[in-house]
Amino acid sequence: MSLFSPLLEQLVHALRCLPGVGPKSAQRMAFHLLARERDGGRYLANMLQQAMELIHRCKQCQGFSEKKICDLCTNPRRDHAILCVVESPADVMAMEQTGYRGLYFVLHGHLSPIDGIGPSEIGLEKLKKFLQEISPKEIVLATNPTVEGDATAQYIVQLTKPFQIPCSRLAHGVPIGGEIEFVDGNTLAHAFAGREIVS
Amino acid sequence: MSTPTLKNAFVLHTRAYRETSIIAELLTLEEGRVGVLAKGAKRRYSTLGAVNQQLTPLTVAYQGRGELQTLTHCEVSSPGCYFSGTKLLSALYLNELLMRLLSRGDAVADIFALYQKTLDRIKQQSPVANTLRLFEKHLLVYLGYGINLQTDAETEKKIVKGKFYRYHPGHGFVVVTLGQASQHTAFSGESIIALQQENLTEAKLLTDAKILLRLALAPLLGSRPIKTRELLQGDFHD
Repeated sequence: MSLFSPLLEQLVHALRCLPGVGPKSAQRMAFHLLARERDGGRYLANMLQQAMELIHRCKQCQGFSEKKICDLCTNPRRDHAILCVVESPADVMAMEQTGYRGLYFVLHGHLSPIDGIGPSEIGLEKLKKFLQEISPKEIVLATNPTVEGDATAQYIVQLTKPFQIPCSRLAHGVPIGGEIEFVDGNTLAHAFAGREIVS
Repeated sequence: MSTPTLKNAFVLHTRAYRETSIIAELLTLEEGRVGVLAKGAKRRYSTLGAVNQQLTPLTVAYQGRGELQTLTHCEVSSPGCYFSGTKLLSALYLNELLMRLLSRGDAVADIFALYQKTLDRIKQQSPVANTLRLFEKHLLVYLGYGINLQTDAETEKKIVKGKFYRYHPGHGFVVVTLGQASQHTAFSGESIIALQQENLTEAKLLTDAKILLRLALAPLLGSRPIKTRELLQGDFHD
């Protein structure tokens, strides 16, 4: 027999769908909401309900938005001549910190042949359509510097060849504030290959 | 406490586990394919970060008793290995093949050497098609499914130039008359001998070798397609 009432049991179970939340954390969250945070709980439930119903992928950049075409894509103050391809919506946030103010395309993953994730699974056809619509002057491939990320970037280069748009890739280098002694050999080899003349 | 011995390894595949850990499939010299858990490998200051670097020779140590070992040490043993373009996709093709054909615990030292040699050849030589065909051929041999490229499976006569042979997976080549040869995929004696001597110098020989090796690999791979082939598209023909 279960210790909790069925509804409480279900709540704990439901909370476990969040990443990094195991049975103990879920139980703690449930008790906290019920004992001290009823209003917060109602607000959370309402927000979840609305978000799950209304937020979809933007028709252009594939980022999450409740509008058909998101604010990022429609903002006239952004540079429509440059497109940055990233793996996840979190990467959009990261790229914004760099001062980049162009457009994005979110892949929601990377090519991973062994896991059965091919070009169609990461929406590359949509990317092609988007390129036809906006015909940018440069594509920045900001996929992760892993073998799969590189393969994805490489595939996009091949895919966009007919459009004759120059593609660039983020540079690899020594992290700021890091020490060369402790930098991984391959990263350092990349940084060396991409060294810049300073005088 | 005894220090675990360091082993040479390549990472064939990784997948995320929980928030910051990674489960990796390694190809090692001594123990073949090994599954390891790299705890906290995604953390910024993790010493196991190199487990993310596929196609790079690594030195690793792991311990444990179950199916999944715990990775305790991982570093790049010879940096500067970098693939791009078709070469990168070709190298990933090797990984996909090995992941599909090799089970954990199949210890085949020859496969490690073959993998290492093939990666070097992909890096140095263009085009890569020839290198990939030889990898497939040797891999089949080491897995115990090698194709008999020497003799006719029924008559046991030597395969000769000027004749045509049909290939039956798991059985071997059987000589066919010219009329039959034109109807179905049959291989010329020249093509079979070229693959046997590893002398795939002409486009026709390479294409035949590709078709033949795919036929031989098909029963081992089952119905799930090899995704990297899709990515390589036309590049396989170069």
